[in-house]
Amino acid sequence: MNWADLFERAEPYETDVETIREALAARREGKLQGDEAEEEDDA
Amino acid sequence: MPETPETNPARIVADADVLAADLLAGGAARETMDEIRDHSWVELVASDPLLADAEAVIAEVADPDLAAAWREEIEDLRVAVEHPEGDHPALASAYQGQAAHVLSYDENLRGAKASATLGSRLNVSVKTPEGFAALFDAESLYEAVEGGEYPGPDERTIE
Repeated sequence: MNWADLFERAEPYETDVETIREALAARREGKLQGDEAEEEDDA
Repeated sequence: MPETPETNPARIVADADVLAADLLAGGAARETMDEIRDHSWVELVASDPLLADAEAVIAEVADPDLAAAWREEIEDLRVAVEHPEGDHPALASAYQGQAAHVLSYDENLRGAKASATLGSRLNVSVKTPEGFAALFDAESLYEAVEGGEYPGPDERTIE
């Protein structure tokens, strides 16, 4: 697969930047909370 | 972190939101990433955690199979760097890869957080894709980085 094919395959999933931002923020927030929980468990 | 004296203006970090927007939203993110794909001397710097964030977002917002296919393509494009676990993937990739530009839609990253994280250690510019696309000039950058006359887009151009 090349980039042109990949973009064509992605077309049905087109979304906006805000949706992407929210998904990334949730992932990073979740990871951050997970890291903090691990640190508490280690303490 | 130790001092890092220089950055490379042809090295760019795209945060995970920009990488996902390139695939799923188009617009300035696509325009900026096309500049990287179009010029082999412009390098995309990214750590594994940074790509993992983008892959996870694509899988969540779109489809896991599409995310896996994207990961295969981006692996061929990126210059890999490593950084300590827990560092911000985009900022740490820029630091480790001496990238001069970080592209992000995260307002916090473009403000105090980046300054606090990087301070005077790295001369990095954090911009939106829109801001970067407005300023990017392949011809003058080529002359500054590679020297000689700008040959135009090369082999990474998408058909």
